[in-house]
Amino acid sequence: MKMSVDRDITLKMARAAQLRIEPEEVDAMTESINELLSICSLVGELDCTDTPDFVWRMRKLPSRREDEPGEWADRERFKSEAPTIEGDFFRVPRISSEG
Amino acid sequence: MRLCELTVKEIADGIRAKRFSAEDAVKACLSRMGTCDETVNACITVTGDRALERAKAIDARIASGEDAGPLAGVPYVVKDNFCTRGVRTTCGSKMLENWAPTYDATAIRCLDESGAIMLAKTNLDEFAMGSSTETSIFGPTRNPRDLDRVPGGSSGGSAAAVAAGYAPLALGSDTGGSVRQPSAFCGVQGMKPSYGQISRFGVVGYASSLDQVSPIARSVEDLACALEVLARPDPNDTTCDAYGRPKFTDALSLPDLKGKRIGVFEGFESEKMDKDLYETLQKTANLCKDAGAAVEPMDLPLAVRYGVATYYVTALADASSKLACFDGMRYGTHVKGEHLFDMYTNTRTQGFGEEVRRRIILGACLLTEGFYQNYYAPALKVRTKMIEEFDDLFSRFDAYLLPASPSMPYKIGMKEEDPTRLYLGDIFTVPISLGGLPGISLNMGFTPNGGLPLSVQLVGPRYGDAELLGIAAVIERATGRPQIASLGEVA
Repeated sequence: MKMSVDRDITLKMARAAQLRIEPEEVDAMTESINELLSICSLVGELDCTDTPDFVWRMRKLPSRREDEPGEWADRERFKSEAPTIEGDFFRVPRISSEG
Repeated sequence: MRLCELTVKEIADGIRAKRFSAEDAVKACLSRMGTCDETVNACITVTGDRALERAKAIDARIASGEDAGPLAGVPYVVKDNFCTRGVRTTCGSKMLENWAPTYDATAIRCLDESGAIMLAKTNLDEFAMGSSTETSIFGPTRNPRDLDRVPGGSSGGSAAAVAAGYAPLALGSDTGGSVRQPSAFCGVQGMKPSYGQISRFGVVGYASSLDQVSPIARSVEDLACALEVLARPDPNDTTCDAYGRPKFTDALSLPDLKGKRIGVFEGFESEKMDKDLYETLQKTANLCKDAGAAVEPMDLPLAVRYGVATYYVTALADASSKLACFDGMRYGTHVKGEHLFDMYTNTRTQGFGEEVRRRIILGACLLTEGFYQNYYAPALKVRTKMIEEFDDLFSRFDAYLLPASPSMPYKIGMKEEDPTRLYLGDIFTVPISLGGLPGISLNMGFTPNGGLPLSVQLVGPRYGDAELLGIAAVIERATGRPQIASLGEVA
């Protein structure tokens, strides 16, 4: 079934993806999504009633490591990658704008 | 012949035989890069000092009689979406502009263990999303065969570097054609191996169910040499198959194509293609016939009708999930906000470029209630049907030929806007990715006027990588391997 989006849905999608769209960009983005949805609607026309979902078949599954506690690479190196660190912790802003 | 013009095999053999040193090879390639890259712009970060240090260490090991590995002293470059310990890995994006990972990708580790020496990280479309290497924050890469043209993408920097003679070997990543198309545009050999052949651990992915680490070189033999060190099981990547790989270079001894059944893909509108490229496909088919193969036309009706739609649904949904990890918290760009979600949004909106943002939003849409049931869920089933179609095809053929691209490389700044050609471009590459098949973009010479590369794509069954390399080697022997670009006044 072919579906489409409007400005409101586009803005909701952007919010879900943690992205901001400027007001002047919303129409172009909406059009772009609808063009793609139109092309992609083809996937619905094939009868796939008894077809299983795609999954990669492998010749031999990789072995799994033992489920045991282990050491990560040294803490200081990971901390060195982080944009903001406070003591031994990643600095995270407060969750909510309220209170 | 200058050292920068040699192949992987020639450099490895020369160093082993002490005809020249690893340091000589590295210096020759760095010199070529230094002369040309201000114009070509294939490299984002050059690791020259580190490479020279490593070359000296390799030379010392060889001098002491030690086996320094099958690719000891061979210079290589790598697309800047492979994690390299202590060397920045930008993905061509502001999001990771100054990020230096704390670990190496498995592919980098494999090449290091083989004695190969990394010279540079190469330019790409931002987060590998594109086909011209024009969307990087480091500016566009130019095609060494014609500096006014794009090198293709997204692994355009890697393909351009090999064509320009910076290194005989490069690594790229191929999601829907990102190594095969730039290899065709730059006149070099590029191979997307079977899905599961090479570990993806440490590669900043675009679409996990499609991405594959892919070598680029100037000969089929070099692709086999690279595969031999790269293709191995990896417990860090559960999609990397643990089966025992064949010795890929053994397949190169195939003398001719007697007994091989080769299909020629005809499920497209040939009049919409570039005439030279269409003729190249027919010439290659005749060449296969002359080499003893049984050549027949073939078609893939499901892949032709549903391939592009299935690819976009899959790739964009994958990308939207995959790129959710860029939150400004643990690494990369961080833009302050009043609260957590404000910070996420500020970071991602300022860190990602326009095309990446567009694809993430589209992917998020496809995974939303309603759209998921009507698009993503059916695409998973259509993909299964397409794989069944490939299984049937390869019960009748050993390999098939099709164009690597419908068009010649276009001018920088001029997007390919003909929708039919864009669609054809996708049809030629994305079904192969959806099927997890190995595909080789094979240079078949250059146009007489203008010297633009002519190429074909050769595709085999999943895990038929070695046999495919054997067939490609027979074709290459008949046409000759590509040489480095002259680069005229630049060099």
